[in-house]
Amino acid sequence: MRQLPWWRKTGGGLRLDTQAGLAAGGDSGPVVEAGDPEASLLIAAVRRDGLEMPPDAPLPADEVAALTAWVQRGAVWPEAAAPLRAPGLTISDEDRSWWAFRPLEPVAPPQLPDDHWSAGEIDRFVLARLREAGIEPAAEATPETLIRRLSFDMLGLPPTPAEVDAFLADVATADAFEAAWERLVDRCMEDPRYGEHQARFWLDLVRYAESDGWNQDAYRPHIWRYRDYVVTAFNNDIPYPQFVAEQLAGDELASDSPSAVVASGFLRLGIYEYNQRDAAGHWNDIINEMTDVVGDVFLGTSMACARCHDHKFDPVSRRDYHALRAFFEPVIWRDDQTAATRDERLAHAQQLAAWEAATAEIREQIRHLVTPYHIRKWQSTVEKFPLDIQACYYKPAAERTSWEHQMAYLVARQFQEEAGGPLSGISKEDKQTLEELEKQLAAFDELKPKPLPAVMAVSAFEGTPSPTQIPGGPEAIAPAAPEVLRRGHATEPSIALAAAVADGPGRRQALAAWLGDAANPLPLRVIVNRVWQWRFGQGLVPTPNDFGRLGQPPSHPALLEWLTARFIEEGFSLKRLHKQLVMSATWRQSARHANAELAQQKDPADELLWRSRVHRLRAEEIRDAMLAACGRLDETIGGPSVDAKEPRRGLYVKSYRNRNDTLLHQFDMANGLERVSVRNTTTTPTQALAMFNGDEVLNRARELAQRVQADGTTPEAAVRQAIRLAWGREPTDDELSRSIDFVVTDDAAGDPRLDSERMATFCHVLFNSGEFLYVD
Amino acid sequence: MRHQASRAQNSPLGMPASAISRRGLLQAGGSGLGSLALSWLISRDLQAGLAVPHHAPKARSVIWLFMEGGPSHLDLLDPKPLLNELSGKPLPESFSEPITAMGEKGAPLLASPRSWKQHGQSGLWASDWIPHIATQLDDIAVIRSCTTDGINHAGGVCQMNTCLNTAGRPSLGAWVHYGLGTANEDLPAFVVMCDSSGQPVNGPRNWGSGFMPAAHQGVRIDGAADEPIRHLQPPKGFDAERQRESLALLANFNRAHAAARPQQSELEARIRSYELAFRMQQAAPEAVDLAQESEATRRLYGLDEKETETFGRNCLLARRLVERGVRFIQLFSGAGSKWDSHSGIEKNHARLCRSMDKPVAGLLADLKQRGLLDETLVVWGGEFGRTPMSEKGDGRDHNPTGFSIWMAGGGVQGGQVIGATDELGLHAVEDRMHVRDIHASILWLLGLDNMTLTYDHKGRPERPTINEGRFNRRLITG
Repeated sequence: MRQLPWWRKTGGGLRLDTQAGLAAGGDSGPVVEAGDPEASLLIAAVRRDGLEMPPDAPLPADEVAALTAWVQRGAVWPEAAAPLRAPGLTISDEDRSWWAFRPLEPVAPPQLPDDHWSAGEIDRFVLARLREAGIEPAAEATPETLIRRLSFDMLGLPPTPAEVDAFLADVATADAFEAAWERLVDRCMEDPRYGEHQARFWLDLVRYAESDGWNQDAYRPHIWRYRDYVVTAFNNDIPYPQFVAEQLAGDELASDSPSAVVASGFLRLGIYEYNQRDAAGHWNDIINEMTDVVGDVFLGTSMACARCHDHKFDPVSRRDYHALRAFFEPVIWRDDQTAATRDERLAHAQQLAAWEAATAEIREQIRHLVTPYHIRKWQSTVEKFPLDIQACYYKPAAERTSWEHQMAYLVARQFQEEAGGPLSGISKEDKQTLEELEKQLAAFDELKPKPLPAVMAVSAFEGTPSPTQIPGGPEAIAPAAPEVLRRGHATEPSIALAAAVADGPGRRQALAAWLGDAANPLPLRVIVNRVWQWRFGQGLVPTPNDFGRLGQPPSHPALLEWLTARFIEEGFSLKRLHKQLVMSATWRQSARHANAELAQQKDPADELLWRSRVHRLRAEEIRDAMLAACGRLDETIGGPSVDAKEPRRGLYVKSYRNRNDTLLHQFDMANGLERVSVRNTTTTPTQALAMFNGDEVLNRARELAQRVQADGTTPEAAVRQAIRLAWGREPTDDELSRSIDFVVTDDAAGDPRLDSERMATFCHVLFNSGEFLYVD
Repeated sequence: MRHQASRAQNSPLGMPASAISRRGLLQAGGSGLGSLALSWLISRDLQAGLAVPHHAPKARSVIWLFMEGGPSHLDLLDPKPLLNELSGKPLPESFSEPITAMGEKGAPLLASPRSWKQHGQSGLWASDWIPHIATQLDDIAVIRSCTTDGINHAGGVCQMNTCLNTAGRPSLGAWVHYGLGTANEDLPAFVVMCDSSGQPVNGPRNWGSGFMPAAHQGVRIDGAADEPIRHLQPPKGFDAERQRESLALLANFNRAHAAARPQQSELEARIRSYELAFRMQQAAPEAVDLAQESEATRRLYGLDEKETETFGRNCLLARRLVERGVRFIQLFSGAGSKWDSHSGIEKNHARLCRSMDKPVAGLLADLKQRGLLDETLVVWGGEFGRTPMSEKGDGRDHNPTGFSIWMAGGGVQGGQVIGATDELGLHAVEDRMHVRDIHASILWLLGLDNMTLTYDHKGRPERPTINEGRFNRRLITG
């Protein structure tokens, strides 16, 4: 007689085709005991042990084994895709209570019995989850490993052998390792290279590059000041809300701070090309992209999805998108701003006036001569544009709306970019006269003040802002916070934002204040998670630009809440946050784990933080570490960017959006187009070819070989020093003897001697080695 | 497994089989970071592909002949008698005047002084500028109804390569590499060649991988150089023996380093990348060595004539690479917008057609005689066409609203015309194919469905044709 299927026997109701079904179990309760096949009804059934499933014929043995192993390993069900939202859905309480959107919850670090491991609160959160999973944390890494890791993490450069020695000596004499470690951490924090390295993470995120992109890919000669602003901001540890405000609204802040004007270059970072006939479309793209960046970078929300339709997964409407865009609608680009204080500007103006007075006559003659040519050029420039754009240009400035002003700006840029060269169509006579006049003018150059430092900046349009509209939609959308982040209590920051916006000017300043408000937790969770990601390689939320339903939830939600609260308490200091992280026992774990195989079975992605992650150096770190090892690194901080062949840090190499075939790009340097929160880490044969056959690495190797041979040392000393410089540690005996064998040849008399060509080859091997390219 | 594994990283939505995260995969897979994860890493990083087509492919490889700058369809493949009748007159009001790149307004129509003939059994039209390609028309499907959004070169070239006119997306070659992987690990799967040392508009971004890993980007090779692939040869002064010794020491260090860090499979992948690089170093010089080709073959491609030698060499190299399993080859003709002819189109096009016509016809003939044309899709075209209106008297401006490309081989039914432009060749009016449709069609012929192929980026399943685009079935049915 045919038996009833077992689930009928248990009363039915069991579904195993969804995660929810598995979690709910059957009428008689759960059918799977994660980690314990013997106690799982499901396993009993497929083994046909009391129950029989499937009813008709037993499963093949290997499938039964697979299911058993799956349950043994925790019966993990891969995350299901998030459910689609119906279009036009209103914001529900459930939407508002999404973990990333709700108010910060006060959390206390867990108290764990017999905790001899934790160095601070962070560790207690981590250990609690590890204990739940039955995984021991890894042992502490060796001091040599730790200083190398810290140095790369904090400064982007390897420690020198002297720094390693000093640290090891300090560890040996300190009462406690902790004290020596803290001294080292503090030293790193005060090192100006800290800002250089941290800036790179931020610059990736805001798609910083130094060229226009598009076709011409023109170099932006002044944008480096923005890069230097970011470096300095990290070094001076300016509070995060100020950092946000200066970038979004440096021009609107009532300060005489040149750096705030430079910071507003944030709104100039997108791609652009002057030679675009479709000015309206071009500007629309620019403002939309600006909006997308702000959504990604500050809100950790893929706002861009809601540009053309309500977000399909997150509670972000098309209206929300345009309300965010509205903050940027009246932004105008400025190329006449300077990074100078009021006093500097006054002094400059005074001196300029003197020069102008002395040269008035010559300049008038020049003006008289070139004006007809300029008018012709202007006309031909303007005529290239569609008629409605031409109309914007010819409209008196005082009567323009912000959009009309923006169009006029794009037309004017076309003229400026093309008018720099010789006047076209100039007569021979006029040319001669002009050259003569210019010579006369040059005689007064000593009177002329040095130009003030030029910047790419923005300001708010002072007349009527053009309305923001959903394409095809009738109504103007006012700037506002996304609805899901508005709660309607009088104390809510979004209310203050709405009030500030209603007052008129200062839209972006109001937005920045909202983004940096302690009572508005989403942007703060986002930055805290980023810093965690920079230090641990993976965020507590593994998708740092997406805290929505398509992202992944935090692995340690309570820890993220606690860190965010602490970040606020400590005055939004990124340095303090950094210090907390690297002081933790969690961060100081070894990459090797006594029982890695077991831990990996339980937590394959190391989400629970049971060891340190071995990671490849980032592109710039590879370059910088080679330069540092061979003693060639020019440590000048800041200033205009340089050609790649200069021995400056990778941060200072000119970056062009259209030239992505450099060694740096092969190692996944950000391309200035995407908002990169996590760089790819690729491993390709072309990288190997470039590293092994390319001149750049070979030249560095030769320099390293020269450096270690400089003192006329023995082969052993040279090899030892090369390994210390490349790997940051002493070689083992085996490595040493193998290496000496490699670099030594017999001379004519049959005596072994150091062969400097072979030494260079040896150094070349070191730069190609995994130990050089990876950090534990 | 590789298929599933690579998909896993890019979990498309709502598809249970592929909605598995990397973590999920490893958990489900069982052996931790053992062989499975290693093969996943290697497949992702080194050959980097899903490697399983969605349906039976018609084509195995693509050779894309990119006429950069925008060749004139009105003077090559799309004859317009009305244009010559109305020559010198303004564009009739019944044709809406588009925004033109150079902004010359109200310019008179410019006649095409070409002589036109029908060719082959199919009777397709070609002008006297492409006499050699004309002999192959029975194998060619001319698409006369192409459109693009890119009005200028940057946007047009960007879109023709990446499907969008603004920067940031992976190129079609990168998608194909991602979707199909490589058939020959000893050579790059996606290769780019230019006919001069000049850089195409937008530079290497045209063959970049956008938001996908750099492993998928195209590799530029220069068949005329001593070192056709950058960094292919050992550094000067490194003989084979020295290189062997270095690699041995490196392998020794790296194995010890990896062994001390078990369960870190990226380290294994790095070791393997050096092995592959070494194999590429062995294989690539042979692949690009034209000395092995017969005199007759060299002549077929025009290597014996100065005007056709450069592009001919690239076409011949392309055939050699296709023979060796290279998946996607892009040849730029007129690299650096040379086909752009705002003035003096007669002189410009005459010269460029001369440089390209014979090599391209030779390539088609050679592929055919070797039985390779059936599985090799050859695509010819620029980023847009040119206007029937004149510019500066004797040139033509960009025309993104209607232009021609052609395809041959790879399952394409030759001897047919698809679509049509209006009577002056300004706007595509019949069976229009936007760039997205062109890309979707190329993908389809390679066995990839443009809506099924996804790459998860920032939580969004990105598709090569940005959620639009469809395969034009007429390409295979005629």
